[in-house]
Amino acid sequence: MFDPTYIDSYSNIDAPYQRLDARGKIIVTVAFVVIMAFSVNDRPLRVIPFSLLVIFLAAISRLSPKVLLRRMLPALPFFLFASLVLGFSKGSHASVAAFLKAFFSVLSVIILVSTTRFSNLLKGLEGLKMPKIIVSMISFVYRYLFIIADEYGHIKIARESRNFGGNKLWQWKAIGHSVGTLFLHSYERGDRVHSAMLARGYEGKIRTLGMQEIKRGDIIFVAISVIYLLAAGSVSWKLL
Amino acid sequence: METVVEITDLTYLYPTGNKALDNLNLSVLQGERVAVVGPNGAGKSTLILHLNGILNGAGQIKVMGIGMEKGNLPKIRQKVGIVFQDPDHQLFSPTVFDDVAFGPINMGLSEEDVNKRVSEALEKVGLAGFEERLPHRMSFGEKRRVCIASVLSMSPEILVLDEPSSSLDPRSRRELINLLNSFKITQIIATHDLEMALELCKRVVVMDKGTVVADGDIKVILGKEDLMLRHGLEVPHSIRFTHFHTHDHDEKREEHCHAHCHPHPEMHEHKERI
Amino acid sequence: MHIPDGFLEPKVWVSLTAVSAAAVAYASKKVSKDLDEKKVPLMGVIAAFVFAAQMVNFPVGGGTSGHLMGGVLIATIMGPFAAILMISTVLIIQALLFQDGGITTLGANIFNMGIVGAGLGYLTFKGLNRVTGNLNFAVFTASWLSVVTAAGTAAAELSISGVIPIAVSLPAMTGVHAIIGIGEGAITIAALGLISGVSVDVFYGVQTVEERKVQRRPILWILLAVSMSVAVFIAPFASEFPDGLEKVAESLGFLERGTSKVTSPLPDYQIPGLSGGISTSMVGVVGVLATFGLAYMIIKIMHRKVKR
Repeated sequence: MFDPTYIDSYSNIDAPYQRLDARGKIIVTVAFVVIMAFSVNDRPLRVIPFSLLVIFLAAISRLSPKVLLRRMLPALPFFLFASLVLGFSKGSHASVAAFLKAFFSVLSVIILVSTTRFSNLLKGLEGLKMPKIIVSMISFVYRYLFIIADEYGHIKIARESRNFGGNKLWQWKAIGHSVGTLFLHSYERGDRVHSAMLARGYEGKIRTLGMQEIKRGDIIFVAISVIYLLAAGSVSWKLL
Repeated sequence: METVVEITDLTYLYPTGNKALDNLNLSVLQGERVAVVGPNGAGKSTLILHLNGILNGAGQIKVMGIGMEKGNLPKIRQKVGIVFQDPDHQLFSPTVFDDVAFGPINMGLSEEDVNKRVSEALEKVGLAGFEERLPHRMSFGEKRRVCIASVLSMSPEILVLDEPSSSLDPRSRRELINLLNSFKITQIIATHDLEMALELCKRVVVMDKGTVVADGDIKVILGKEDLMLRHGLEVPHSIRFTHFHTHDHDEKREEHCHAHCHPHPEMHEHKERI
Repeated sequence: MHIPDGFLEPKVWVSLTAVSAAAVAYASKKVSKDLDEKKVPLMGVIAAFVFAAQMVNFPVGGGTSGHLMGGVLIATIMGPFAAILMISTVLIIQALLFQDGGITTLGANIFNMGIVGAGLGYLTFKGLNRVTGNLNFAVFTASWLSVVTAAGTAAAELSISGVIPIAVSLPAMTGVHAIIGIGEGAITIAALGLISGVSVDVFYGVQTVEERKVQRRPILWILLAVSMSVAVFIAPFASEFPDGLEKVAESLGFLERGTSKVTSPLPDYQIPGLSGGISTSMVGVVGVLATFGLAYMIIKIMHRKVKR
């Protein structure tokens, strides 16, 4: 169903961006999306200075445009549809601006998650004070999502093999029962995971090894990027 | 005898591009019980998913003379009953009744017929009267038998089982072997349990890397040490210790063995009595 | 229903981010206080289940299919606070790894699906169960309402941001989801039925059998009371749709003349239908009663077993 390895499969390339600390990359990505959201304001030309940063990041992470576009593909139809609808009510400029904003925001997120090992991304989120409970839940979801989704795939195949069909109510009922079964299996799995964790000394707090040290390069990267973004925002606000 | 499954040049690529099945050819006769063995990743489960059109590779598949086409799938899925490896994937209803009735209801049968088929199917697997039990609370062996009942209730012509003996305790395994032995319909059994295969089947199909590498008399083929080792298997103890096993190049002994060995099920029963 | 970056105006997403951040912070405090250490791995695995469940497709007719939201399903078992945390987690992963939803819109999406979908859904379930004593009725209505209201708030957010006039988006979104919601309701009943058949005390905050079977009050006024709140979503669907289409046509004409307007859209669009007269509410009430009639029938049919 899924290939879980695809998520951070480019994080091992030895490129400048991959070597930076996850915290810095998260800050820059969020700053990028947020500052762009505040600055562009229905004017497509204002996206240009922002897009330059993303293209620069893509370049220093040595990700091929093909890979990036392939990952973006599933999101594009919806962006197109939504910006078309927006065009009817706000005009063509706003429509193009919204599309570009959506496009480059997603691109920046894809670059972030492609170049950062998932475990480092989680550590980064924790280091940036995301509630610990959410961070550990994210890591569990990441670990078990593929297993549980696969399990539903198997249930579905077994259902199809017995000619599943018929009226909607009957189908809903059977799907509901499948979902209930999946829940029970997940609940039991959660219990087993918990026992296995207790067996290795878990006491209710997920401990992680200390954060990586922040290097001077990380600070410079974040500072330059944020200053650039603020400048891009204010300059484009005046000129474009 | 009539050919019930005929597969010609079946090739299937995973979405990742790896070959799961590679020009596979296989035919199964009516009433035959065929063991399909091979290492993990040999393509056994992929092959099974082709038998009722869940997967659709390149090549030709005919079941009971019916071509594998979209319009024929409901008919084929009624004729080919698949028992999947993990009972938890197959059983998803609140009661055993609902699970065994699932197929018949999908076939559009009347309430009366559904009830009749459910009780018959449960009786066949030795679980008569279990209708109201919760599948979730049953033992693994019982769950496996409910799975078998849940496809028998559709009156299939061909029963396909994926690893039926895995995770069973010895008693449940024995009950399963006796159960499968009692069924007259065509059976295709994919398994790593070579001893069970020896007891149940006269014919074996050895698969590796998505294709059939050996096909024939089970006692001859499973006795070929080189062949077994080459494909991640080993000669079963019951053959090894009765000196039936041969080497690929040792044709003479193989023939000797072929002529003189006893039918396996009897031998096992004899051992049991001791 | 996942809103991506770029389509909401700052005033919308900033305020919803604040609301959702506060709600998530409160929920994590609540969950860490009431529950034992077991809950973190358990909630994590169940959040993975929610993710998988949201990929479940079901037919809704006309060759289309709906996706399960699972908010009420998970809230009735794990409680509303845990549900909000789990849904937020799922939304974060969907935004980060699957390009479904955005960073600036994360707060809005958590608001729609977590706070409104699961939180409000749970309150509806709890309230209806208390007054009617009919568990299935409560589950169905809460699930249906959670899907419809989540779609409604998403529509409202998009409208306030000027993406699409409320007169178009609200009826379109709630109309489609009123149908998808029926599937959600039926599936949630079946799923909870199976789960409660295996382990008894599954319903969060409804511990005892007695509590589940509180006295039945006359069902009619309850229906009417609920219908009043639901009328908000049905009424515009019933009465304002032609208007909505006209508005689109107007904007189209506007576009063809080649002038693009870059002004704040809010003054141009009021929320129609909400302050409508007697006729609008009548339509709403009729729509609601029809929906509940359908709910009742579905529950009846689903419980008629095919046997003996």
